[in-house]
Amino acid sequence: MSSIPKALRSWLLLVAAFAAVLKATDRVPALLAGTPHGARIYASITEAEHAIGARIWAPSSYPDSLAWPPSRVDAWPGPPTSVAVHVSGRKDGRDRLVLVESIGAPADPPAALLDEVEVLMAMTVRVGRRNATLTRVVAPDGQVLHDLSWDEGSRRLTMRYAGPVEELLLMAASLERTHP
Amino acid sequence: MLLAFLSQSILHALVAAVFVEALLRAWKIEDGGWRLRFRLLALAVPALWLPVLLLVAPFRNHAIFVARWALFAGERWNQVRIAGTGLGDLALLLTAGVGSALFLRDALPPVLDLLRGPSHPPDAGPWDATAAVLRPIVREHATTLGIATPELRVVSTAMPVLLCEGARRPVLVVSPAVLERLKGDELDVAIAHELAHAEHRDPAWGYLMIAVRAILFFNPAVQWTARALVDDIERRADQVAVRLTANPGGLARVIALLFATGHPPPLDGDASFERVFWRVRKEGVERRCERLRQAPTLVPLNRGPALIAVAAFGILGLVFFVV
Repeated sequence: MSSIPKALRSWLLLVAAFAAVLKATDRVPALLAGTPHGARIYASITEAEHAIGARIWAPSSYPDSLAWPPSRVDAWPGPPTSVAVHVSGRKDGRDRLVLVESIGAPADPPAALLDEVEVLMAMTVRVGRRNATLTRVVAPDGQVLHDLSWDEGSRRLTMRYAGPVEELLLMAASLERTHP
Repeated sequence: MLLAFLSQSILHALVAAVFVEALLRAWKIEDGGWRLRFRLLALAVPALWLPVLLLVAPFRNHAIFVARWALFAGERWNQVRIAGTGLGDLALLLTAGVGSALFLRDALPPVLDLLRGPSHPPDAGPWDATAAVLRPIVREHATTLGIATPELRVVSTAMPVLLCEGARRPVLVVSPAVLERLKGDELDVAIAHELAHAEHRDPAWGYLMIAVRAILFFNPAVQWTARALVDDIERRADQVAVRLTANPGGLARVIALLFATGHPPPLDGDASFERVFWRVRKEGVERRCERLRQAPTLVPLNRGPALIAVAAFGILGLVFFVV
């Protein structure tokens, strides 16, 4: 041990190295599972509802091309708490519908739960008695999707669908009827 | 809550143990006494600091802290599922099993010995001359160390026995075979080594270590740190003995001899992990002897308390963000 400054320098290096290794290792499970880092993942809506202590709203009708129940439910602690319900396609098993809802206060979907997309065009449509924003977007993989977003009391609901816009609007209307 | 405690206990102990080991190497700390203090710091993290954290900072387990602030969250590994079970839970089960095996491997034999009957060989008769030969050496070194001359207990066994025991009042236990096997200078340095244990009340530390290991039996990092701590207790006693006798080579010979006599190589029929344990211990003894033979000049650690404080700040800060 030569001097205190030298000792402090090596201490700082070690703390930084440990923090970096811990942080990097912490990213591994999300990479392996293909899930968002930082979000808690639940196998079912019931399990997620039990964990976050609130009801999760979901449409009451779906096109036949979608599989039920949801493949997984992601929760982001917020605030406000947000959840993303993933519904897969019946044929290919890939995510076709993602319903993100903020619970407690209207808020945009956190980036951890819904990928950033490029907006092509946006318009206002009616979902039940509410005005909603329908957006045509391009995902990073080049797929064209539709986002539909509206506020319902203390929640903001955002549905991202890879399919016909008519089906998206019908699902949104069924959700609005169930939770007016 | 229990799973969170078990998981954080193992993670915190692991971070603390590796961080302390890295600091000891980076700061080139050779002084056994100071190494011991750093190891105790690593041991205090799962044993004392984690319960405090769970009591005063319960928000660390809240979803917001886990998602935004945690450097490492064990629960995230449950996102990866193997046969329907989270990888985090599987890893926890596996490491707890390893920790328990390490603890039982050391704890079971003495407990079984105790159950079988008296653990010590009988005392030698009053006609035995061993105590008379050793008493002047013990008295001389005890006086130099400034401690009361410990009691000598001579046991009747063919094995060479020389150890310090007794948590409250240290006693030197010795067998006549020691006189037959060790030359004069080797006996001198071996006695000095045992008196160093008596000076620092090392048997009491040994009991404390057993208690900590028993409480955190599931934690492999605690088991490893406790073993490293025992090694540093021996290193400190070696350094005191070398300071008293200036005979590192003699001490290395004694250590090698006593290990060879007390730990014969496992037989072919023994379980393979027994052979691994024996090899690990043998390599440890060889390293210790090599260190003594090289006999480097012991550089005293300057500003030790300040360095301990800095190390503690680093460890406690890091593990705060490990949940």
